[in-house]
Parts: sequence; C-alpha cells; structure tokens
Amino acid sequence: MASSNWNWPAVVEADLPHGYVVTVSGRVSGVHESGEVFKEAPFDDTERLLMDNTLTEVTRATKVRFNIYIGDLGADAAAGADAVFPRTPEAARSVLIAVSPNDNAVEVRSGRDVADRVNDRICELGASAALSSLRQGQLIDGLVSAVRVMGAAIGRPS
Amino acid sequence: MSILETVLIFVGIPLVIYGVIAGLSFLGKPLPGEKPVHFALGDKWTADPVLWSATDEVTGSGHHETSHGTHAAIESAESDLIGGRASGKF
Repeated sequence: MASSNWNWPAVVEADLPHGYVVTVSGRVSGVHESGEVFKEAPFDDTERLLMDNTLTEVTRATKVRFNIYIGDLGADAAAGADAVFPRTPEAARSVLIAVSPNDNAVEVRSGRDVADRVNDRICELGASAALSSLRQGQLIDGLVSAVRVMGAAIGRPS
Repeated sequence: MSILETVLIFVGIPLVIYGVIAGLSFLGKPLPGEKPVHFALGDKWTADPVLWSATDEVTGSGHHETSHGTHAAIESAESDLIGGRASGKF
C-alpha cells in the first residue's frame, strides 16, 4: 500500500460540497439543507432492504463481492461498464451488474481473480435472469434475481 | 370549589394546553426535505449513479490475495481486471 498513493487521501476536503467536512475519525459529515430533495437513491425502503439483504447473503455465501451499478453507461454501454468496473470495490474478485435505464442496457462483468468460478456462461445466466424481469419493468426484482441466480450457479468457495 | 370546578381547572386546562401544543406540531412538515420521486423503468433516470455493495462483508481469504489486490488496479490496464462478461438489452 505504501508504495503507491494514488487513492490517498480518499476524500479531499476541498472537493467536498458546501457544508461537508471530514471529521477527526475520517468520516465525512454533511448537512442537508432544509426543503431540498434528499440525496438518496430513488427507491423505496422495501426495495433497498431487499437488495441489501440479497447482496449480503450472496456475497457471504460465495465470497465473491457482488456490486450493483444503476446509472448512465454512455452511448456504448459495454465500454461504459468496462470503465466503471475497475472503480468498484474489490474489482478483481467481484461481479458487477450494471444497468443503464436510459439505454435499456444490462452489463455483467466479473473480476479476473474469480474468472474460473464466474465465467462468461454464468455472466450470461445473470444477464438473462435480469432481463426477464427488466422487460416487465421490474428493476429491483431483476437485479435481485440476477444476483441470486449467479450466486446459486457460483456456489460456495472450494 | 365544587368537584366539577376542581376537575375543570386541574384536568381541563392542562389538557387544553397539551392539545394546543400537540396540534401545533402537525403544522410543520414531517421531514425537513422531500424524498426523491420513486423510479420506475421507463422513466428517465436523472439521479446520480448508484453503486451498491455489501460493504460489511469480507471476501478476501487472507494475505495470499495481496498480489491481486488494489495494486493490480494500478499496474494493469483496466480491461485486464475483467474475467467474464455478458451484455443484454431490454
């Protein structure tokens, strides 16, 4: 870690928005201005809990980190997902399921260190599980079933 | 003082004060802001990108992982990190 400082400090206090500080413990503390829309994902609590529980269960069972990305991937969704992937947590031993709602695109990527367990076939499995729900307009359901199907196909670490 | 007066003064007046203060609290908004509008597929996604992960889970199996850890992200090209891939359109 000491040999490189490309990600240190992780948070630059000068770059934080108005009303945000880095506390002594390193935590970022920010204000919410009264009357503004909360800065949170536009999903209800049930959906977020379901997603969180699924990610926790499957990550714990497979020891492969599952990451979900929802947002614009650009005109070329595949290239966008390739660009997002290295910046996700533990990218080399993770699975990224990226959805770009504006482009109607789903991209699944797995990391190099788990490529023997999460190969292209299992990525396809996750993509098709997500697509069947996404085509019915169920975003969170699609992501949950993709994570569950991939987790079941990967199995426990040997 | 009759019993009725006693009850009115010592129970009625406190209840009125309690009721007024409790009623005033309903004038304010329950939240100091608004929840974002729920997103449904088909709407335009205008929020910031969302990245979800099971942040409290530990996946690494010890120190033999370090050669593939965060250093790999620096030294290798970005596409080298990718093992499997799949795409789809809906």
